[in-house]
Amino acid sequence: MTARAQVGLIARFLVRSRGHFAFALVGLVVGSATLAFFLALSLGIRERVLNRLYPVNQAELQIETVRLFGLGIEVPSRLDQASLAALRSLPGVTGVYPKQRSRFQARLWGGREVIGHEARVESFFDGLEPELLGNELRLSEAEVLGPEMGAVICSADADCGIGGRCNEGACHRRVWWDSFRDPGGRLPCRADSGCLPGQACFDGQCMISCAEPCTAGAACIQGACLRTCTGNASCDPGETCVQAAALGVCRRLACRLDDPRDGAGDDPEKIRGRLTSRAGMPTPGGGERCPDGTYCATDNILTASGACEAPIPVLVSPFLLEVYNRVAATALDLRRLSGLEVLLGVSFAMLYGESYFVADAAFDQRTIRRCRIVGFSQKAMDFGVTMPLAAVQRANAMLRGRDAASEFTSVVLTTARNEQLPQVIEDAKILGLVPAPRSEDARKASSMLLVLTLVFALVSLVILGISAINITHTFLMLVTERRIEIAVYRAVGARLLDVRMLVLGEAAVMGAIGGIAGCAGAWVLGRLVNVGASRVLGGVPGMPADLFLFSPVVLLVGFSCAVLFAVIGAWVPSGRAARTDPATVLTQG
Amino acid sequence: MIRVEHLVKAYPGQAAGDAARVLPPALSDVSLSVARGEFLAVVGRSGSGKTTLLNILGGLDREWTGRVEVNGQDLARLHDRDLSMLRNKTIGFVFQAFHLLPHLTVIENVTLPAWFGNQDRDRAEAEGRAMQALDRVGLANRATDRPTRLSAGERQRVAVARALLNRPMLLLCDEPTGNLDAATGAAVLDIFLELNRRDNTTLVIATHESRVSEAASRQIVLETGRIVEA
Repeated sequence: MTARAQVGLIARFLVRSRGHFAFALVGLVVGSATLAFFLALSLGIRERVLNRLYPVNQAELQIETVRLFGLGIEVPSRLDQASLAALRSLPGVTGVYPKQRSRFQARLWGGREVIGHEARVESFFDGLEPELLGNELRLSEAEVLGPEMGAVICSADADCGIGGRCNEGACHRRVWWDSFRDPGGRLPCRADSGCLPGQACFDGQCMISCAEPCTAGAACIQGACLRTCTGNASCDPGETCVQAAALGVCRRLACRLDDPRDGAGDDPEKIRGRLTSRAGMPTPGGGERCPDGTYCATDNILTASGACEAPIPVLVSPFLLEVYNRVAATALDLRRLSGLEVLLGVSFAMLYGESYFVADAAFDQRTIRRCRIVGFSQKAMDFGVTMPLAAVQRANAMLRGRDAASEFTSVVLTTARNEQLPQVIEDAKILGLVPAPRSEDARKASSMLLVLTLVFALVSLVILGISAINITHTFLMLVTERRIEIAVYRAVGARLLDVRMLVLGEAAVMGAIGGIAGCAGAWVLGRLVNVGASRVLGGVPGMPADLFLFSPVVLLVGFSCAVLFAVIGAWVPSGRAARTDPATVLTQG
Repeated sequence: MIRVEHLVKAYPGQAAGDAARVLPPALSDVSLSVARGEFLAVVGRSGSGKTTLLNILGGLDREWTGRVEVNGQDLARLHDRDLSMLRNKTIGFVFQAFHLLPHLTVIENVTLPAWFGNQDRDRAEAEGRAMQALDRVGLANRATDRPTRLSAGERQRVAVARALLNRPMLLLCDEPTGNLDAATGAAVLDIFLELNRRDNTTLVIATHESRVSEAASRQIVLETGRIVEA
């Protein structure tokens, strides 16, 4: 029997018995809808809430603290390069990403362009490896700004609006996420102890010493390893490519502010200072300022001389925006922010070593650095900003010395497979490391979600199982009703398999209809729940706009289960249909 | 065309070959042969085993002992797939109760064997053959009607057309005129005779009507499952 004939007969069957099938379909629709609904909800929460904190193959570990009279006291151990090397050697570990908090007081100001006033607040920040966040930043940026390439045809950048650029005839929006990397920067010093591990103090500036062989792409010039270059483009922002010992090497441009107080202002021209000459550097002419996109970062607030640097790229937590809108904006009658996207590109100044609460560093240690918001991450500090790790290490070294810069606050581990993570966490306890509260909470929530998903999946399967029993009864009745028809098919040449496949095909089509209707119903229900949730829980920090993830896999599972259970339900009736004795039926009617 | 040797058929509650039982087998030690193009009438009273014999010859009934060959093929040895193909290509059935499917049109009923014979790849060709078969039984103008709108005689002619779709070598008819009035029955009989004469189709007709049996080239008489007259 050809597929076309089979489809034709199945279609006729379904039309003739639509009343019976409609009744049998109810269970399939409810079952597949329940399954798709809860799978999509579970995946949505896992992907959009929990995985933003820590994916299932990641955990953040920190030094174990013991509670003593209500105080958290760290057990005496260090999380340093040696610990990181030990963690890298653990079986299953594919990535080790250290985090470091700022170890000094700081305050920041800025944000006039978005909130209408200059905000002045105490500043907290930490640093983590940009490699840990790349994909997450790109996704979160695409969520708020849309795809990187739009559908607008263009011939020049002007056709693409503010921040857009025209590339190969199509407009591309401004991309921020790839800016989250260390922009480099000068680390002033008085002694080697004020530099990062592996660096030495050369003429008031930390550099990698040639005591060890320089890495690839660097050359030893006057005792320090300097990055080699072929042009300015291969150097960091604020650096220039100069000839030294017949090689091109990157040297940071020296600069000077007109007045040391200009560094704290917001005049975009004044903060760029003017380039000055320095030994080994070309002498600039005409009072040239630091290049576009950089500013003159002075060594401290008392001096006007420094070097050109790009603002430090920082990330903020979506939670921070919620707190601002719900607390600060309401209490202080400030402008509410419509969404995360308005924060992208916002610059602010940060004063290291000064606090609203306590006196901290000496005046000649206090220094101003500029920052720019380039993305959002659930891994960013809830009350503060997150920088590339190297920028925080430089700051800690500058204010607190080498020891402070070489010890990490916590470390994020990734494993190749999810199931390897518990063992890795267990092994790390030997090093005095335990899961950080946030990571542990995410793991517990993930486990709870898994249990709930399994329970609801089981409930869905029970519903589908009951519908399969209903289908069995319906088809047994229909097979009995159609015994003459089946006998005629046999008399004119239908095989046992043809008869069986007709019944199973009918069930499969019914299952497919039920599966499609169920998945569509689940999707509609999901939209309704989203609307309800946004009204009830709209202000909850971190609450995604869409709680559901109706991925192709979810829809395929919902659809396939409906088809599978329909076919299982029709299995026994199909056997009975195939066993219909045509001789008896056609003789006795 | 047909060769039957020592055929015995017993239904549950009957014992094969056991004459002492109260219920005798439906068929007992039946042997016969039918040549290609022959018109054989199987006559006998109700319950004599006529329908059982036709069901066995057509491969609809597989529970029996003995040897039955149709067109050189031993039915006992055929797999379901081959037996189904034999029913589809070589044998045509006409039943007393017509057994047309009421939800299909006349032409769909006639085309039905093509659906199961992998011949509907060219639907137009199958429908063309169906129209020829309907034309042959004088019902080409009723092709799109439902069987429920036809008279008994017309339904039986549609059943004949269905049996003829694949131009079978063997036509097995079980009381084909049993539900028809004399005039309609005569018309149907004429169709069979024409098929036999013009196409050399082998006819085996179970009947208890004398006008049918008299028209046959040969007849056998069954009585309690045995051939008592050949």
